[in-house]
Amino acid sequence: MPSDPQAPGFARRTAIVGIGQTGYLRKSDREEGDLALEAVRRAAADAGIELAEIDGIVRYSQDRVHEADLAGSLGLSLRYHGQVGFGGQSVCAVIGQAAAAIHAGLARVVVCYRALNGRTGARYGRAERSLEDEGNGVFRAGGLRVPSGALSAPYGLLAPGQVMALWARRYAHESGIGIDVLSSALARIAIDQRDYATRNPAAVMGAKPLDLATYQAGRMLADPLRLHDFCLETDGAAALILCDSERARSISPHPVYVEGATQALYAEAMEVYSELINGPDHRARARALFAACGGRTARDIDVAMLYDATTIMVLMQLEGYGFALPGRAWEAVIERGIGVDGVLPVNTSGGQLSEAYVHGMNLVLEAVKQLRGTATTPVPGAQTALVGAAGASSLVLAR
Amino acid sequence: MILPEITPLTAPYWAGARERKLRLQSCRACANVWHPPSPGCPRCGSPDYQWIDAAGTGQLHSFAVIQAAAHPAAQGRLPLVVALVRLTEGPLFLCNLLGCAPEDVRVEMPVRLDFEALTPEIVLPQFRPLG
Repeated sequence: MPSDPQAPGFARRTAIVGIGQTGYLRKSDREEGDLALEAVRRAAADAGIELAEIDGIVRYSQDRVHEADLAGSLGLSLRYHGQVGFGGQSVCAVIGQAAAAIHAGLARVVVCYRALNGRTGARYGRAERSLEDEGNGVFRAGGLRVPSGALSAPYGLLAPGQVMALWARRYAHESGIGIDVLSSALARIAIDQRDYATRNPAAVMGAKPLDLATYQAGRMLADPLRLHDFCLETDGAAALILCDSERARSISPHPVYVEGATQALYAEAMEVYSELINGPDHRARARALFAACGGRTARDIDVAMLYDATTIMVLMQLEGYGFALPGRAWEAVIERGIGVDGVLPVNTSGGQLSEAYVHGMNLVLEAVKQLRGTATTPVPGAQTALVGAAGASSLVLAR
Repeated sequence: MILPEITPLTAPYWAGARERKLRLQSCRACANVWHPPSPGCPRCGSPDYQWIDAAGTGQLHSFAVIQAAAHPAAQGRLPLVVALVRLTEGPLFLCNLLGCAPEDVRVEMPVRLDFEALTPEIVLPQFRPLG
């Protein structure tokens, strides 16, 4: 496998200078374009820059807010725009491409955003948007992607979380543990993330502490995954603004530097046909990324945001990124959890299980807040943060 | 009922299923056998492949018991065992496990090929416990 290329000199050449978010709600009663506009305006205000300075946009191809509409609504004159395919797995690649565009001189100030009515609009945990209704109770599944493609939907595999139930069962098997032990580890992740959320006023679930009995009483949705193993569905938007580091230092009291980013098209991405759990490739790529970021290793990561469509993703990524030995993250999590004093502080806003589901963009914002020292559960002395989307994209940020 | 869209690439696969065969692609250049269908060999990139009939045996790689439907069309089939089978030929195959109560399913259990006709045209390759 080729090592991930990263140009020498990419590290710390760009920085995140502004972040903005709307309220995270179950029902926004607003159009997604309106949500995007608010998040971008807030990010610009946070950065202390004029909107007119924004000359680049990078966004998820899945976002229904078109860059032309956003640029038009904000009076932007763009020099660069780009889209990154797939869903939340690409979150770090969106930031990485923005940083690369600035580094290459294609744009000076780039905004990235994700706006979705994930509860009242297209629901990513459901398959209505994927199947064509032919009438008389017949639905047609096209394409070969999993889930909800032609070779998965007819079998009833329709949602990403159901795929992750397959990962979870295999993880337990390969780790030599029973489902009861696995569930203890997953419960700890759900409970610890909820604990973070209770200190985060923006978190959708902030007022609802979670205990083990409540977790265990949660409805089994895709055995072995229960209700609280799944992320939320949220209406909301989040945005951030990047510029070159020199400019960043001149305008921001706390620039957060992009140390490195990766973008893969790879087995970890919603995969069932190749290995289901983090293979040696994921671990090797993570090591290569950390090394490219000023010679770091996993030990240099102070806080991590690990993409959490479900709890099992967090457990697997602890191994994939090298924070736990292969097949042993369950043990570390049961013993130490993922709180501030845990294996590693993970998803410290509550994450997508308990803060909001904004396709990972809220995780990036939380990483920035940690490095600024403004997180609602601050990790003392945090210098370096990882945002990880299951190895499909990764981002290392630092003060 | 959820039916698959059939394309020129997958037409031989579905034609095989109608004849109660599970067809896999096999690379003429490197002998790799793969699933799901793709127009080129996932190992060497060669477009030169043939369809072969799977032996119809394998082991259960993983499974999930779907207890909440993600679409109304799946509602009537719950609980539903979605299974991944490691075929004897090597590839993983996604299916349901027929003829087995959810509490009796075990990872690594040996399974054999079966078929389920959704319509006269659409027959799903499925698996059930061996023996």
